[in-house]
Amino acid sequence: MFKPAQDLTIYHVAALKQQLEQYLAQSPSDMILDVSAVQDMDSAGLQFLLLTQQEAGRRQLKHALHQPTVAIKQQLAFLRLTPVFTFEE
Amino acid sequence: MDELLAVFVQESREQLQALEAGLIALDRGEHDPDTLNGVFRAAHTIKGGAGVVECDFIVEFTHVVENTLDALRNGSRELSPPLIAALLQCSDHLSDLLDLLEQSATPDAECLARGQQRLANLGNPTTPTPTPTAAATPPVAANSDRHWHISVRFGLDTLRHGMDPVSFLHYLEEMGEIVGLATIYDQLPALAEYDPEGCYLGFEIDYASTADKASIERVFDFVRDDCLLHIIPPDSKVDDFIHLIEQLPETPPRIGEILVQVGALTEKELQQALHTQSQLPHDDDHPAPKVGEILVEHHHVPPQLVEAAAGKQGKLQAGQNHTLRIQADKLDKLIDLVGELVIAGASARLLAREIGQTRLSRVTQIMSRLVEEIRDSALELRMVQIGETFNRFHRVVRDLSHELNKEVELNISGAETELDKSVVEKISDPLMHLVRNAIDHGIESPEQRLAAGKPARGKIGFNAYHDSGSIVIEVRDDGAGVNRQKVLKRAIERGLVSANQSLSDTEILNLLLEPGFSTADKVSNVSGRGVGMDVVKRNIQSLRGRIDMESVEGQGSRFMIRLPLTLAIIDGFHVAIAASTYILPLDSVVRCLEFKDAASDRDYLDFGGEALPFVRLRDLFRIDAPMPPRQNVIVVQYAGQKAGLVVDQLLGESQTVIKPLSSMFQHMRGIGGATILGSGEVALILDVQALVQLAATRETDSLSVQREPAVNQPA
Amino acid sequence: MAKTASSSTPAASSASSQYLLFLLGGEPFGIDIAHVKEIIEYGQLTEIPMTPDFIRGVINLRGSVVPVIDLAARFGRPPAKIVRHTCIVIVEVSHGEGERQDIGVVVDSVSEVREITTDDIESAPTFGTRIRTDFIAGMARISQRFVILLNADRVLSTDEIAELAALSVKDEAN
Repeated sequence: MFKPAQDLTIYHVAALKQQLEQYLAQSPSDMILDVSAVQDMDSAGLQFLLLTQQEAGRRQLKHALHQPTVAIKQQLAFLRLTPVFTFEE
Repeated sequence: MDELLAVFVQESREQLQALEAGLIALDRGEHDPDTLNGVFRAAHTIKGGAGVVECDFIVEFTHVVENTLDALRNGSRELSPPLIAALLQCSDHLSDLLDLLEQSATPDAECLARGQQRLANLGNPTTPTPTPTAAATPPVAANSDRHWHISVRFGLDTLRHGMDPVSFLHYLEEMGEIVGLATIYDQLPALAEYDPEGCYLGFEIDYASTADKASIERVFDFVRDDCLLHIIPPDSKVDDFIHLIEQLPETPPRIGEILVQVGALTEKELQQALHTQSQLPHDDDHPAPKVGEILVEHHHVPPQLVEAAAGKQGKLQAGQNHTLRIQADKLDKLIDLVGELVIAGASARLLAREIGQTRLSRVTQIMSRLVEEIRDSALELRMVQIGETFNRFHRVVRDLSHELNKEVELNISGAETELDKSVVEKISDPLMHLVRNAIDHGIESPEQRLAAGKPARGKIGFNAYHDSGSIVIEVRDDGAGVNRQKVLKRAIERGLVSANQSLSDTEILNLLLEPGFSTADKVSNVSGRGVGMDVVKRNIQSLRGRIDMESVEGQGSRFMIRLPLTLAIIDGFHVAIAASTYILPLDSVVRCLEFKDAASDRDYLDFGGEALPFVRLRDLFRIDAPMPPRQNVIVVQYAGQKAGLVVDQLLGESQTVIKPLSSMFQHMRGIGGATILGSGEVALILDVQALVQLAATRETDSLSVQREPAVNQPA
Repeated sequence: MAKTASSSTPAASSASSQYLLFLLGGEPFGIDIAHVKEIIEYGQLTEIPMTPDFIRGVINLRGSVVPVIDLAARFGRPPAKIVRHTCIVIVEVSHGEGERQDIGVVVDSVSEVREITTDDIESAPTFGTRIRTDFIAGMARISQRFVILLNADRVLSTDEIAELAALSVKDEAN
């Protein structure tokens, strides 16, 4: 499981990219994002989320959002992106 | 303060001016919908911008103002003078809030209370809480059938510029309803190329709103320059969408699919187009035709029309880039550098002439000409229209005339006349004095005016035009004019002139501009206690300008302010005393004469029958160098007064870039500034005004000394 | 390593600043190097008429017009004579709120830049230097000689100089 260390915002995406690269370097068996602690997601964060999904598809890894917070669910719903992601509780 | 915030504050101030100008126009009875829409847009833009910079106290305040304006716009409320007054107060409050934001402060309790009071004065039926849901409902309810299509692709640097694309969608929700939405992230690269701070997002939006196109565009104002934005109005033809498809980076089938998804195109319309596409042969040599081409085939639209549409689009985009906002100090730096270049060019030309190389001389001459052209263009960049400054006075006139129970209208002409920004900034105060003075002392009360056979409503007029390298600004009123006898009497009381002096009409009027003069029978807090007119004169003179006055009793007065177009450069006349070069502004030079009776100790000479006082600059400046065999007198003029300046040599004219002198010379009189000569040496620019006054006072002193025993008057 | 040494012996960690030392009328002076922008050759100076003696004039410093002050005259001594090593030290002083201004200072010669610790700086004697005490930031003892360290913002206060210049304009007029 990949757990973003911080909120999914412009302030943290650079660090998150590094964290993701480190995660992928360990040849993980899935790309399930534990976003249970993410309180804020802006456009930059959304892009990061979309990137993880695209990257998972490329590597044929299972992609899902684990316990997304209300903030994330609302943002994705507003952007009509809910059907794009798999959620797991 | 960061750059984004600075931009927001500046733009909001401009919007606020537009808002105020609109309100004043409404107050004058110009009830056309465009004005009201303009006012609404201004408020809306401020709110939108405040949201972008996350300044909640401005968002919240403006939101209520915006609601009032919206109610006026859709006719659910009526305009009334008290409401306009209340809105103007809100505009003042917004200005205060912007000041606070600029100082990185937040409103204190008193300020908040004042704001609440001002909002309460708007008398909105229910003061709605500024939540997006509350805002989203009214426009949609009004007419939800108006579906716009908005297509936007944000530029790669959008995030780095501090913008959040998703937040723009939230603002859209405040003016209408997002019915359909597709988030486009086709541009998102693979991890290796992914720049976490790059922006790869775009949206296709089906949007129900009664807002007009300009209002929707304004939502994207902050990113317009680097995003692809298409707004397709309700009831547009399929052609418009086909055209949109052509413009977008994604492939036609993909974008077609999206357009169907958000509800912009029907499946049938799309299938028709895709069907046509599949029947056309294409391989690598013949790439798939664009949907626009398909459409031409399918609907038999003349190809010229499609091309015309595409051409128009290109022009529109170019138009959007017509203005470029840059920081003033960057421009100043450029102008400084060009000034340096002018100096360096002059020194190269000088050198070429000295070594007598004709070819080199010719080249440096061409270069100098080019450099001067560059300088002129650079200075032109700083030229702004005076209209914006003029327009601010609508409010002043409105408020002051109310306060003094007078009826006054302001007419403006020549608003498009341009002048240097640095001059514009300094002209506001003098104009303010003149306008206050005109309303307070010039324009009579309606009763007095009617009694005098004039219309009850007085007029103040602003006019501006260019005249031989200067700008002339006129301020006129059709008020009572100046009673010369009253002026003269006051001047004698004040000891400005003696009782037996005979003065021309112009000389009497000029007394009004002397320090400590006020003819108003009662002192009011509007135009102050006799300070003002002399300050106006001083301010104008410090800009190297002059002010003249005309007045006809009973009919009104007219002030004419003449200013140089720029403060950075003057046409200079170079003179020398011993080894030093000095420069006089060419426009002050009347004539040059040979100085004949150098030995005489008189300080005036016969200039065409006139006794012309003069100053020996060599003595004044204490220059101890051998006297040359021949000296010259330059006759200079300032504000109607003439004087002679005695120098050694006349060196001729040339354009001079003015360099400021250190503030340690601020009290110095006689020297106005400095410049750098082609040789690299610093030369001083003489302050003709001060030198003429010096000569004049000396003359008066010497004359009074001569006169005293004869008239037998104590000093 | 150095860190532990200094933290264990705070007395030895006194701050120090670099000073530009120069001669004026044979006497050594110092000015905090933080104020010094550059040192240029003495030359091509334009005198400003009707100003006090201690204002030597203005020079063209790469396109800016910079005033030049005669420090000796500012101290009430005879104006400095121009000698072979005379040069102009360009000093940056603060003026008003956050504004900086360049001023040139005429000195006989520049000697060296030297590190002086605050421990080695004594406060100025109340008299004896024949220089206004507010002009002096302190005195340092270097090679058996006292060096007067100048308070640049005071000595070169544009406001004060402007006032003095205004007085001299009045004198001129009378």
